[in-house]
Amino acid sequence: MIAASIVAFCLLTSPANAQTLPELPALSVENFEPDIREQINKAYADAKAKPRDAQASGWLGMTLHTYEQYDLAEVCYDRAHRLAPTEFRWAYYLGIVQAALGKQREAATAFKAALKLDPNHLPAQLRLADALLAAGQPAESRQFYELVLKRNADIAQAHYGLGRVASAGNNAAEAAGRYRKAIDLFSEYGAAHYALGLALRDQGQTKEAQEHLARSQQLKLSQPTLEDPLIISIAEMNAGASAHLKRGAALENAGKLAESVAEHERALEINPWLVQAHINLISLCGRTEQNEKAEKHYRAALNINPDLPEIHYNYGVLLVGQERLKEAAQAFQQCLKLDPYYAEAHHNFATLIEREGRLDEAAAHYRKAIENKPGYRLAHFHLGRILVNQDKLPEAIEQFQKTLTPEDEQTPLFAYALGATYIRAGEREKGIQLLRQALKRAKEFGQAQLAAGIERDLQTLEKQS
Amino acid sequence: MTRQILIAATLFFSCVSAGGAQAPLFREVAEETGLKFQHFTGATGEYFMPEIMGAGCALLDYDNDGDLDVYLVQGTLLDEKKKLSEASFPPPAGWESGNRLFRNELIPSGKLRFTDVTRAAGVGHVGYGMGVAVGDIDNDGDLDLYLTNAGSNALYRNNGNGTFTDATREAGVDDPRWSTSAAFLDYDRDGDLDLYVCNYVDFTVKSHKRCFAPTGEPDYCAPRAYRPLPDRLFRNDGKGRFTDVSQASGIGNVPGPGLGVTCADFNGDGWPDIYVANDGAANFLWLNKHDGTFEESGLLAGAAYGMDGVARAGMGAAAGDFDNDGDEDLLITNLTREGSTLYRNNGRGQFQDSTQEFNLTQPTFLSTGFGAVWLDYDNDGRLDLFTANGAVTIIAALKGKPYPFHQRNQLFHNEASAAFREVTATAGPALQLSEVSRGVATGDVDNDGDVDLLVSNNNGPARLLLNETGARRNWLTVKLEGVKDNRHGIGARVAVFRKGEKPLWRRVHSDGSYLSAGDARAHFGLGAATEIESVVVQWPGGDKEVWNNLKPNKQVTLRRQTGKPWKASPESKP
Repeated sequence: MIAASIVAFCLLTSPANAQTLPELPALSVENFEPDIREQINKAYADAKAKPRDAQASGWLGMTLHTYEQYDLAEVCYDRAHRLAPTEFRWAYYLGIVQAALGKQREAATAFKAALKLDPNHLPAQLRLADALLAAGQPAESRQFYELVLKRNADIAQAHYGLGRVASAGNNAAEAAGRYRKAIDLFSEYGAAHYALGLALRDQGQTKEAQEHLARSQQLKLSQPTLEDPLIISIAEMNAGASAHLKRGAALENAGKLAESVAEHERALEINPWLVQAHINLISLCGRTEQNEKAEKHYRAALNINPDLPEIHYNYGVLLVGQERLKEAAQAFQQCLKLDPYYAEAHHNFATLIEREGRLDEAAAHYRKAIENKPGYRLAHFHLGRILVNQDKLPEAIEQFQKTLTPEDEQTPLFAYALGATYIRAGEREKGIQLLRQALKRAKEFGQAQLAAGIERDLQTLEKQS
Repeated sequence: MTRQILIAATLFFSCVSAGGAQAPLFREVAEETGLKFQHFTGATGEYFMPEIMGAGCALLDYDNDGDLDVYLVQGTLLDEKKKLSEASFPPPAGWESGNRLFRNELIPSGKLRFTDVTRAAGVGHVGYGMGVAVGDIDNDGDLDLYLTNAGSNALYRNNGNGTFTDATREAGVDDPRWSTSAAFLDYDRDGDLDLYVCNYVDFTVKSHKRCFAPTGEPDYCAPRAYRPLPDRLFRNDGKGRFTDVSQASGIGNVPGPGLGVTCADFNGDGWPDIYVANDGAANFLWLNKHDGTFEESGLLAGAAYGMDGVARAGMGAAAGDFDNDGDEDLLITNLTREGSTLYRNNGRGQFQDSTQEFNLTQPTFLSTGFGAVWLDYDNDGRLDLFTANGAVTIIAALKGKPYPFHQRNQLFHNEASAAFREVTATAGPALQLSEVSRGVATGDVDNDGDVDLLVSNNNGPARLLLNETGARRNWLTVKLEGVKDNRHGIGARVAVFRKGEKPLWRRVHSDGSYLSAGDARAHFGLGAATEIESVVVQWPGGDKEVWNNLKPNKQVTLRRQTGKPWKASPESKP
């Protein structure tokens, strides 16, 4: 009788969720960028004016989410989810920010609620499995990864997730199999290569392990993408200068220079103090043949802080591109005055004074470049050349040897230089062997001119013998 | 129904009173014992990066009187054009610039009390202070100090009479760049201590960049705003001079934003290796090749990245045998929303990221960890964990507060069930403080048989956390006296054998944590064991000796060549 009354009371009170609805969070936005402040204040005013409107609370949550204000966004999404429990996105977003806050169990609950509304939402399924794994519930996590694969066996992330579940259970063999499958589906999956490398290491397969670990280093954060319009809409709301700068850098890495320039310029419209944007634009404008603009950004950067070595470095590179070599040398010197450890500036300055025949000085700067940027292949290469010129062949060989790894499109040239130096030092067989290797690799990389040069040298050597 | 309510109410109140009566595990006593120190960041609103990164602390018996003294590293104004009055958080009245040395008066007074002896000792070094390393560089029996700065570093040689001499120039160990943690180790096993210095990034006041939070607010830069620097290794030539062997050893061949360093024999080959926590880049595991060179092996060892192969923001590093299997495991503190990383060693220098397995992911996830130490605070024979926390960028929830970076430090108990349990909430008021902690050093400051904690706070006071619980169980502290090896036996491994129990292996070291140096003596919690079967020492040079008939609950000094030669049995795993 008593129990029945309690249940009845709970049922009666549940629609009045407003009583348990969390308050809108207090905001402190005084120091935010004006555009962002306005954007948040507007969303906040709307949510305050419509306290029972899920859309208004949720929109505020999204606005805070895009600026990584996860604590505050969580409250807003929670409100939205309570006000509109049948709307998928509020539960989904709630889970995402809770996972970002390390609240994996709560996140799993939110994703489960979202999946009740849209059971086939693939990103939510994967996020649920990930949250359960992170919450230390591998068995339940496994169920959800397997569920994903039942519907679509080609989801690399689910295979990777199952690999992690197997790793957590110390089953290296099963884990390795899963990671392999993930790589089969997406060969550039950095995390899967890394995990496979360690699983293979644990099974004693060191050589293959090293190959996968090395591959993970090349790929770093590369992972398969999953279409998720809800996440895209969060990213698109970000009007901050830093976000534009970030996008600009990503576009530059993707080779989209004109778009990158536009993003950088947008960042500066929002925050003219963002000196890094000016610095990047010196280089970007130079590369897109907008030299006047590049000069303008150089001056703007100097106005903010003339003591930043990168400004002078990038300007030096710009001037080299315009064949204004004396001025370029001065720019690199200024960079080195501000930062005597700037390896690239040492290198570039050395190349300029080497042209003037100042070989000893150039060699000293190449050495400085190497000292401050260990493994600086170009600096080793140029230093090696000078040493050959000075007939210091053993030292030159030592430098060239350091240029051979990692193997890439530059390796044939470096191997050629090393081989030629060996021959000059009297180690003919070793030299010819290296030249042959260089020729093979040059052909593989489609470096016709280099290959022709090596072939010529080899023919001459054969004639001599 | 009335009766049921009554029972429920009784249970509720009994729970409350039991919780309220629990004795604190640690008690904060800095101010009451005379340890008055306020860290000064020199911040003037420019958000210069070093302001948020320092500073460290050390526990050392500098005057060899049998109790641990305190050394604290201080900041200053970074911008020489500014005045003290322009600082965002000006120092208190009567403030003196420079690092401070506090002498512990416990011996002979019997009372834990600290006296500031900086001026008399001559160690009030003024620089933009970062860290401190402690070691006996000249094997004369007293401890010397190496101080790192955002700027030139300094070596202070202990004169053995309560004073120090600045020996930086003649020793040749300066580095004018931004150095962070440093560690003494005998990497070439020649009997004297060499020096490893972490360098961070190429920030200078002149090259300062303005950085912004995602919301556009001014904030401290991430390390990627600058270029990482290579670390340095200095070989001790034995006559007060060091040689920079960074290039020759291979150490200087890879740049990295180094913040934490700990040295131990990770792969069990008898030679000390070096582990470096890098901020936002792969951590380094420098394996000793026995010929004066090192090979960076972090990737294959599985200790360079998190489980997903992504670099974390490594800050502090602590090596210790938390699972009592005879090898050195690693705990690395990272940035908020990364969580700390626990790397478990398989004895051959191969690591597994075991953070999740040992229940450390979730509780560390939201903290930005810096100092980290393994300590058996309750003397139960298992190493527990303490992390010193505090953010480096503005915490959203603290916006509008004067210094919105503070977080609670954390204490984790190593459970018999192979997991860690966070006990911060029940450890007493000392662990409820929310500050911007950076360094932490361990040592038995009050000589009562349990390990205490010294914590340094950024823009805050130093804290001394006295252990109130450990001395209830049995313990042993081992001090070593090297003859052929370095005088304090840095790098030696000591094992305590108890009947029916696995041996406990501990390392003699002062390094690890973040910017800090702890007492080098090996401390053993013995739990209920009232008898010790034997104590084995594996000296840094490789020789092993055993001592029998030692009694618990005291400090013993084991001098080289006074034990018997020892051969390991299969179960005793050296």
